[in-house]
Amino acid sequence: MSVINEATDKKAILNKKNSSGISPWQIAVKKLKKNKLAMFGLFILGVLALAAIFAPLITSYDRDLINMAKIYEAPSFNHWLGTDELGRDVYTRLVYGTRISLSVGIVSTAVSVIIGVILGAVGGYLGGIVDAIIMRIVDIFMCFPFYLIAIVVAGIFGPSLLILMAIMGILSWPKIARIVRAEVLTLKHREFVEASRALGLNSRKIIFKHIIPNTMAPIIVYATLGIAQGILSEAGLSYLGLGVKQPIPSWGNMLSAAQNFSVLVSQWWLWIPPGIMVLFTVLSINFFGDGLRDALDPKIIQ
Amino acid sequence: MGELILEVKNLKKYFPIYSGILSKVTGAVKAVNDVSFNIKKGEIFGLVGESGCGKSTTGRTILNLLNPTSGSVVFDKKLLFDVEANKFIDHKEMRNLRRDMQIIFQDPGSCLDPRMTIGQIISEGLIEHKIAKGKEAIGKSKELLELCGLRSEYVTRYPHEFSGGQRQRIAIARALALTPKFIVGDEPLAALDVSIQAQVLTLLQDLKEKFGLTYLFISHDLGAVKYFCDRIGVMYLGSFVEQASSEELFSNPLHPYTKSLLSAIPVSTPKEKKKRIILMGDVPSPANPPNGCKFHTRCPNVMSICKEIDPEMNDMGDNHLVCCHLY
Amino acid sequence: MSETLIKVKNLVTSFKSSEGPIRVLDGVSFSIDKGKVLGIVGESGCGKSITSLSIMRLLPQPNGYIESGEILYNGVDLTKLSSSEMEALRGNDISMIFQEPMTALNPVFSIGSQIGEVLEVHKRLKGRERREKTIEMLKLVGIPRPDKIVDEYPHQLSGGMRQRVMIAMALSCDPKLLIADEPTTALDVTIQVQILELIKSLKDNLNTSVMFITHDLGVIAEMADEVAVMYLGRIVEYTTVDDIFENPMHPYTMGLLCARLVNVKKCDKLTCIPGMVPTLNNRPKGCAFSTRCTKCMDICKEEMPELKQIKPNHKVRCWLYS
Repeated sequence: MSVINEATDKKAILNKKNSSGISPWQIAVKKLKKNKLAMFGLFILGVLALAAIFAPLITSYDRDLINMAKIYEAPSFNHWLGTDELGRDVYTRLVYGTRISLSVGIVSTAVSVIIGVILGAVGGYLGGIVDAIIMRIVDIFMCFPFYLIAIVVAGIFGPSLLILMAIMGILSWPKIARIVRAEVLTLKHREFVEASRALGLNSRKIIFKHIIPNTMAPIIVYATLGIAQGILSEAGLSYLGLGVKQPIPSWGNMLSAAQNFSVLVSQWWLWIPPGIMVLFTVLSINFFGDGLRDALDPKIIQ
Repeated sequence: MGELILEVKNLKKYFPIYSGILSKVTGAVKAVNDVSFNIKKGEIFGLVGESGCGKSTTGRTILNLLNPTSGSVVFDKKLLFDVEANKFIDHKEMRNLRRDMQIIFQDPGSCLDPRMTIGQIISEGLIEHKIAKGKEAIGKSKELLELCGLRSEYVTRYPHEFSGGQRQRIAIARALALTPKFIVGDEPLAALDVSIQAQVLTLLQDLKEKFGLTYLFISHDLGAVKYFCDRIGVMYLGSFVEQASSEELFSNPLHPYTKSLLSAIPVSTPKEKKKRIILMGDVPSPANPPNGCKFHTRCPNVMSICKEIDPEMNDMGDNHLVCCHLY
Repeated sequence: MSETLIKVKNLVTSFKSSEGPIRVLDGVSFSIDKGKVLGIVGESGCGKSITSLSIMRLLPQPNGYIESGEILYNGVDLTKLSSSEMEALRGNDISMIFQEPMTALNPVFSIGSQIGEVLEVHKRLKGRERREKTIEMLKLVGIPRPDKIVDEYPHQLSGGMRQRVMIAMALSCDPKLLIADEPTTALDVTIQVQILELIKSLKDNLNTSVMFITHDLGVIAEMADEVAVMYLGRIVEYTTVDDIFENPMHPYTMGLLCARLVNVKKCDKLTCIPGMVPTLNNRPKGCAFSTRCTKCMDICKEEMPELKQIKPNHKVRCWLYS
């Protein structure tokens, strides 16, 4: 008697409640939801994102309106976080600052991820001279000290949001390229890659269909934590006056108010709120990123 | 029948060893070291040997998944490569030829892309070669699943939801999608439970009869090879020591290595007493194979000629080939 | 009359999981006499490895635990011992060798230091004495040039040699019980035969009892005196090795014997056991094998049969015989 087909085998072996499969992503999401700290981080980020998008709806003052009669006012019912050196409402500027800080973090990370993933995957998969060239470029880029380059570029082109995002993206792609390349080196010897080659797929298709989707886990984790890094870098550069130009508010350039000793001592509402925002945002991103890393751990399935 | 589907002549595959600061090539792992054999249409050819003998590398090189170092392979009357004559099949033709030759791997855990659904995995070949797309491709995937003894609903599921035996069937379904003529099985049973091995072997037999397939069955499991294969080749350290039909090899092994291999199979009942031929020493490294006959360092019948001269492959009658100075 | 060395009674081992406790071993009972070999046969998911880990009290923490049952070793119940008392036994009275020799040996320590570690902890040997005993053990397991190998590292040795080193480590303190968990599955057949002969000769010379876990019935035929066939956490047949091959009673045992390819002639169709092993959280009602048994009756789907003694020295868990 030959094999009994499962098609005729009435007894269900697997859980057949749903005929649609559970993808590895869904398993990771399930795991993530159980992580309270990560969910808390996500919640905070969600609130911040909403605040950034709906900034005009939750603020009542004009962002840039100068009112010299009301400078350095302490927090009150009218101005929840007081006013700054030009009489602008600090709370309003803080909320609008969220837009800048978040978008700088996201855009610069996106740039570095796109460049890094493609170069890392191509180099890792093709190996040989292509890999050698790409890795030497990576080595060269990793020699550049970030702040120094940023200062020089800002000195030449003047402080600008766009330039800031570009520099940050361009200087941080090597890290992700290395991570991706390491993953690809192990992946390319996996049998499902060989099977695709045996089916006749060319290298380009294999890289984009099979290799890159399977490297998404470390990429996502890196990107999430990279956003935090971006926010911190922006804060640092704007603090130094090299980042976002006035009158556009960013947490970094709001923090630069603290360079003035008297402000530091007597007008806490000018620099503590942006500092706390940076702290909370970065913490939330880190909680969420750590949770993501645990959830995407390949030892999930059991 | 009787026509050759595969002709392999003097195949060699060396992997260079790099060492030193400048990564100079200091030597080579001679994984496949002068291998020649033929497979007839509809035959099941078993490639047997222990770890490191080069059987997996042979399987992959024949399919042009690895670049050969030397030798030639003719598949279905088409030349895949002839390294000495510097003739290589053109890319496009090779891609089309891939439809006729497929491979099933050993590890069901890593032979399926964990991020794709079963339907996507099976239909990948169909879409690539533009045989079908979209709904039609998924429809074909469902048919193939049923053919391999699985339910068609599984097309929307993911590999991790299945057991080893089921994943191996999915891999077989994927290999069948392009209606190949020739399938290389690289230790397809090794990671499976005994009862599942029997199921998969039966499936492979049924498919062979249905579609007129030819198999190259690579395995270290002599029991499976004895049952399943028509003709068997025994490899040691990169080359053949003996080739014969399955019955002939098991009833009348000639090469000392073959004899010790067969004597090492565990007994089938406790009352059976087996005379064991225990080999001395360890398998030499393929980077540094011994001079003369590669087996001489462990051979119980070693003679002085064996240390100097590599023996030729002799036909002892009835297509029973042996590579040994004893004959 | 042989004395009983270890007796396992109704061992129940479970794992905590997000869906509640999962029972992996559901009332396993067997005994091993001094100097005898018990072969435990089964396929993946039957619980044979968990049985050995339960005896050694090495279940994966924090989820694995022994729910109930006794493991009587020389009269002492191992389930009730403290961890320091168990540590004194492990490697000393009860030793284990594993399937994957590469991962079972620490790659950054030399062979000598790994075997020496066991000698130091249990026998308090140091310095020259320890080194000499180590070399003696390596010689015992048939490793050539033991005085050189003692200073080498695992990656310098082949699979067969590494497995011998593991056996040397396991035997260095003259254990009474050796648990061998699929020790030859990852080895080539010519090496396997060497390792099996080694274990047999050591058993004969040192009178060690062996609990040999494998899925290969051929190895069982070579090694075992008694055999327990396991399926989904329970023993379904328990008898002498001769009886298992000559008079198998449980349909699963018969299926396993038929599925062996060594005996089948080319033209025969293979008789297969249909279907697959159910997952542990999908245990069938009644007899665990009912979903795949060709001789399944109505009662098999409702009630689980007990392990009953049908003939002298032959116990079966099957409604066909109760």
